[in-house]
Amino acid sequence: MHEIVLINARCEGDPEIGKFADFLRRKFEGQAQVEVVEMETCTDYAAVPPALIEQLAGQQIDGIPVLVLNGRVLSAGTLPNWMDSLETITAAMRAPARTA
Amino acid sequence: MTATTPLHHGASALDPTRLRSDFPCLASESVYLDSVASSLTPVSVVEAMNEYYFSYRANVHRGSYDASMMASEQYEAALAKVAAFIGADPEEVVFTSNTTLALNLAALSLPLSAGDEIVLSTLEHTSNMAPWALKAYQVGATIRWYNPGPEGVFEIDDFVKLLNERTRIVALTYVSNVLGTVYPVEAIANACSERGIVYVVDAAQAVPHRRIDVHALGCDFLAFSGHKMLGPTGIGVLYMKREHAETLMPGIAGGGTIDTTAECRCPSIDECGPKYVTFSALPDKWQAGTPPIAEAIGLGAAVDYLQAVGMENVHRHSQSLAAGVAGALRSIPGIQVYGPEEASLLSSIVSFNLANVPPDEVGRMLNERYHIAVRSGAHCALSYFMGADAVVDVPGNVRASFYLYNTQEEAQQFASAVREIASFCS
Ligand SMILES: Cc1ncc(COP(=O)(O)O)c(C=O)c1O
Repeated sequence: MHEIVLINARCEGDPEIGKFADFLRRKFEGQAQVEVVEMETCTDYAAVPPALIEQLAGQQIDGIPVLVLNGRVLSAGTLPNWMDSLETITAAMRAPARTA
Repeated sequence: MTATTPLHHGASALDPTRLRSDFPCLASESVYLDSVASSLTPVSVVEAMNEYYFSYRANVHRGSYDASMMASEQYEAALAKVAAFIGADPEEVVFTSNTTLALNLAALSLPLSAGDEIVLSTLEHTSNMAPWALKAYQVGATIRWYNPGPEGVFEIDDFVKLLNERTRIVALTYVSNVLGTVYPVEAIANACSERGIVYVVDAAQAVPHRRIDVHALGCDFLAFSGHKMLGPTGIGVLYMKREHAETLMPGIAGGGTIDTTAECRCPSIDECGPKYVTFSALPDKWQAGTPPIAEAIGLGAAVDYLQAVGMENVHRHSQSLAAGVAGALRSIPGIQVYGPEEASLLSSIVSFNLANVPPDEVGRMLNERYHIAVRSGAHCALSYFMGADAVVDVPGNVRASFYLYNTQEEAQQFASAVREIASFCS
């Protein structure tokens, strides 16, 4: 099972991220779990699980919201549109797993 | 519906393919369906403005030299053309920078007192709401709201129930920029004039699409923008009935509005004030400061262009594309089209939502995947979409709008793209 995480923040994130998460859940039903991590502010990482912070360490994150697949940042700052995101995620799922 | 089903709803005498080369912006692959926000500009409009800038650039009405006289001549000709385009006399027309400023000028100029009432509708653009809200706030007047419902269908019998002896001003759109529905301006004008109420029409979405005769309509004021009717940005028009133009004190004054050739009647500089002032002859009384000269000349060229095509043709063409697309979208599962089904009640606009997909996201997919430009959001119609008394329970929608240069193929492409997006997102 793949893991998709959407990190969002109330300050400058996507107010409709819930609809995007539902869309991904529909599209990747049985293939991936989709979780939304909602931060209070753009710098308040308290809501981000420590394990995810560890996975994200060293990766380029240029802004919120962030789209993460299996610990790998696929996009940050703006989300791809829904059609593009499906292609991006599907391609990334097929790519070899990231090694630590 | 198959991909080849024609979306033209009824016959149209206008062949957009023959005029598209007049619009350089259309050379790209993208499809422009946002003319309600701002239309594209034909070469002739830009050339007319260039000619002013390159050949006879000078201020109007101020110089006795050739360039200034030429500028004045061209400007006056443009003013006369624009006035005639809406059936007005040149003395009844003032240039502003856009519809918004035109409506503000009307609001600033109309007398109003505490306890008076202004009637607006819940479909108004912010530009025909905020000036009146501000005015009401400043003088202690009340705003009453006519709600034509989510479909925006105006019922005159319901509307007149809002009018009473305290009603001073009715300010309503002619064509809704959200739904494309058309208000019955003549009937409203009759209801207002019978009661001595001033009727202000926001015609930002009407003048670009239909032949208008302000005298026949019977409204007191009418406002519109050049940039929505093939003209340049930076110019708008306020029509006011001659009696208002003559008797009202202009809400904005400055150079040009005061007759400097008239004898000064002020007893002293300390007592100087409007009661001693002789205003300029119409329409200069209302034209404060240097007018938008190049823009007026450009707008005159836009009027020439529209008249050459024929307003009936423009109207029928845009309406039929919109009606065809609305019909196609209604057949797509998950799509809600706003506004009435009856084509004759509509203008050039189709607005819709796709279940579970934010309107901005639909707009983004149309742009990024299909190169189709539409508008998404609340379209400045705050009272329709927002607040505790919002007419609909969504914060916005997606709006496509058609104009004379849009083709059947583009309408087709758009409907197919929406169908694909709907199927993809379901
Ligand atoms: C109905 C309506 N009124 C007023 C306006 C404001 O026009 P402008 O921005 O040119 O002042 C618009 C603009 O979209 C409109 O659609």
